[in-house]
Amino acid sequence: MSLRDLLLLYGIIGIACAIAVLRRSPARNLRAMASAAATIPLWPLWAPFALGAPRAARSRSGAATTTARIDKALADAVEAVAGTPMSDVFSPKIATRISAEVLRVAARLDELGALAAEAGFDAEASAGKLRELESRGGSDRAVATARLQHESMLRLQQLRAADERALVDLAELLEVLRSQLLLARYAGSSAEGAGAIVGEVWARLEGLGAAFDVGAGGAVGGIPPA
Amino acid sequence: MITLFNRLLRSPAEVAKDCRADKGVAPIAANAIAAIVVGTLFFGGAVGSWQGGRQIAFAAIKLTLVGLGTLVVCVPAFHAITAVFGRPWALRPAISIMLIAGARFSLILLAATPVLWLAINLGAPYHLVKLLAALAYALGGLAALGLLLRSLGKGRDQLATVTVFVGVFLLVGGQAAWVLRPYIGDPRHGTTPFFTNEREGGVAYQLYVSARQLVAPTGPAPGSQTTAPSSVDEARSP
Repeated sequence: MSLRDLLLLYGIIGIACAIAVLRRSPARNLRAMASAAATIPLWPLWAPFALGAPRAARSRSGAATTTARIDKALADAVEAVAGTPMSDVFSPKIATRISAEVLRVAARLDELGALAAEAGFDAEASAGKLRELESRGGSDRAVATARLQHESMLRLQQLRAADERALVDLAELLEVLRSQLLLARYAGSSAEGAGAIVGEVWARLEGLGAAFDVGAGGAVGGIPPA
Repeated sequence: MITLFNRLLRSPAEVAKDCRADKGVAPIAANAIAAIVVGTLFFGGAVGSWQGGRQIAFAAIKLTLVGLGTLVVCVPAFHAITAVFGRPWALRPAISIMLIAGARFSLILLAATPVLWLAINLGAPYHLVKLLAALAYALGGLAALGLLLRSLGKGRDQLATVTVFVGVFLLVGGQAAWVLRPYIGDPRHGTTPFFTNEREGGVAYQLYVSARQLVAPTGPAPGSQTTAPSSVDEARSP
């Protein structure tokens, strides 16, 4: 293979990567075009970053996976109690309500994820700005504003992470509930344990909803509205 | 971008830590590439200004190509070498570490640019320009090496990793620079071509030829041309 062939192959791979970068970018703006253009000659250096999943998209897919787990656990649980006296403990109506609540929480998480992906809502950028101001001796007022902004971003990030964890915990709890109901159905044991788990599920859902309602009221993470 | 430059020069360990953790590496990589392009463009322009004219643009473009081309070739090698020596990093951290090391190197070149340009403006001879450029490269290389060592951490086989990688990097970088020479230009030629017309083989071969000539000087060395030498030593040396 001659140098010309090698360069041709390199260019073809670069163009393919650039197309992938363009298709993957959420918007066809100047930034996306510049990223795609840089990918053609520099694909070994830039493509892994340009083609890496955006943080928000990754988080959304994580929430979607958890929601799918919850839906499956709910469907299995409803099926397990169908036609048995235990259907009072866990009726299809209860499952629908839980599912709706979970979807609402997941949608909120997606919103937070999308917000974090936008410019101006990045904790790393705000930390960088704060460091820069401190290092070049910015005014106290400017440093205080930058610090407040950074702390707000951190709180938003923490809130989102905590709720993602809570959603995963809920999925695990519902999977336990499904197992309990299956056990009660096939082993003829009491559904008392399952009843307690259903109570726990509602308590956790209320906890999640309360956290988001506070955020919706304009005081996210204890930060007063402007 | 300026924030990253500050961090690279003042707290490189912190940037390296972010890269290893794959934390916010996309903007770091973008800014590092920009730093490499800007640093090598300006330094190349200053080197080419010794001859002036279109050699300024030629040298600027060629030094940028050498810098980026060397990184493109060496990034997979770095990824593989670190994995072999017990650091199985993901691709993004490995690339970002290479890029920030390259950016630090380029920032040193950028800092050296006014000095070099001033020397040329004051009528520095070819040899002095060559030495100043080499010195700037050496300083930049040391700065990048320090960052690389910090990035690797104090784990096992740190020295072996760096030694093997530096060997590969010097070979690739040397060959890339050799292929794209000349940079300073030859005042005996009316116009300096973008690529040299001399056919002298690769840099490794030339090193072998020189070593052989030193050990046993027997007439013209194999592969050497009897054409005029590429340097301008005679032209401007006293």
